[in-house]
Amino acid sequence: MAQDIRDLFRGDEDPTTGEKLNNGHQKRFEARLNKELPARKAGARYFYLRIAAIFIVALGIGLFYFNSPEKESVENEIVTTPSEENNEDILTPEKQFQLSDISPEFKKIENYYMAGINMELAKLEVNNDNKALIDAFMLEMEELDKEYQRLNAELNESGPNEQTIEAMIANLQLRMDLLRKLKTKLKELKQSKNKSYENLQA
Amino acid sequence: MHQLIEACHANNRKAQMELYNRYCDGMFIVTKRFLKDPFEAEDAMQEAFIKAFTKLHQYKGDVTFGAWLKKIVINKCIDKLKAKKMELVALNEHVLNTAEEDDNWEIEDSIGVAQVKNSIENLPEKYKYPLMLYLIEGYDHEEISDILNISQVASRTMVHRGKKKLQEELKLLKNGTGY
Repeated sequence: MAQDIRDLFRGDEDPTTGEKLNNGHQKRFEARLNKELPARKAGARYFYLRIAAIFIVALGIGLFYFNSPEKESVENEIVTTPSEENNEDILTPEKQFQLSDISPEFKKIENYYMAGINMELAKLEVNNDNKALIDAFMLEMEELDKEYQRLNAELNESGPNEQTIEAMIANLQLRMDLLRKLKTKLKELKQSKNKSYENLQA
Repeated sequence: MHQLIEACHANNRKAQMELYNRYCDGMFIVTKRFLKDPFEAEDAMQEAFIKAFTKLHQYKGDVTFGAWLKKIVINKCIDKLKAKKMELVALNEHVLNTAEEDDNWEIEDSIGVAQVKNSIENLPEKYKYPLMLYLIEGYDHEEISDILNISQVASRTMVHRGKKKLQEELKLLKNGTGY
């Protein structure tokens, strides 16, 4: 009688008896598990959270120290400058060291404008006739400077970004323009006065 | 069982070891059948367990856990064999177009399981593994084609040819020993 091979295997469930695992296979497997599936994934997550928290705290402290000396020096500037006569002089030194922190390029731009503005201011001749005009101009400049300070604070808070920096440069340019306008106005004033003086003499 | 699997999925070490202990012997027998070397077999078996633990979310419970695990184990074995350059059924499909099939699985009565296994062992690899999967592991052609990454026609043909060879071998063996 012939037999079916398939039945042969169907019959015995586990023919390969005596195939025993080598001793210590459980230990080896556990070691492997530890390596491939590291325990406590949640723990690992907390570990990263902890790193993140430390980083944030460090950033906060850094920002605090970064900001505070600036304010102090600003105050110092204000404290020392009132001895000088012009309001403008108080405001200019502040600006100089703030934008320049970001990049040497901005420092150049800032210095260029600051030097220009200071030079023009130095050339201004204040007399009784143009005092009202210059005062109005100074008020305007002060306004612009406040805006500039605000932009600077924003810069410190949110870090360097294009919009703020552009606004700051525009601010400086505006001041320059204003100054030029003032000069032409003053010149006109002088000329008209001369003319009227001449007319009077004639 | 369900809870144990859940715990394993949550990377509970104790549950994983319990599951391992429950199935390692059975799975070792399977890997040993394919890989022969006991160290390699243990290696493949443990790798398969780890793979299973990382893929537990894919176990939907439509088959028994043992059957699900066994498939991973066998796939691991095939991977290992492939890595060892097993010349596995890279046959042209058109050669195999005609799935020669008959349902004659008969051999002499006096032949025992051990002898059959021994003969399967000596078959060329391209017949050996399909036949092993079919006879010993009890997979159908759809599953075999899936595991070995061949067509179902190829699987049928390989099993059929393997069976023919096996029958010849056993006949020879019987005559040779002068039974």
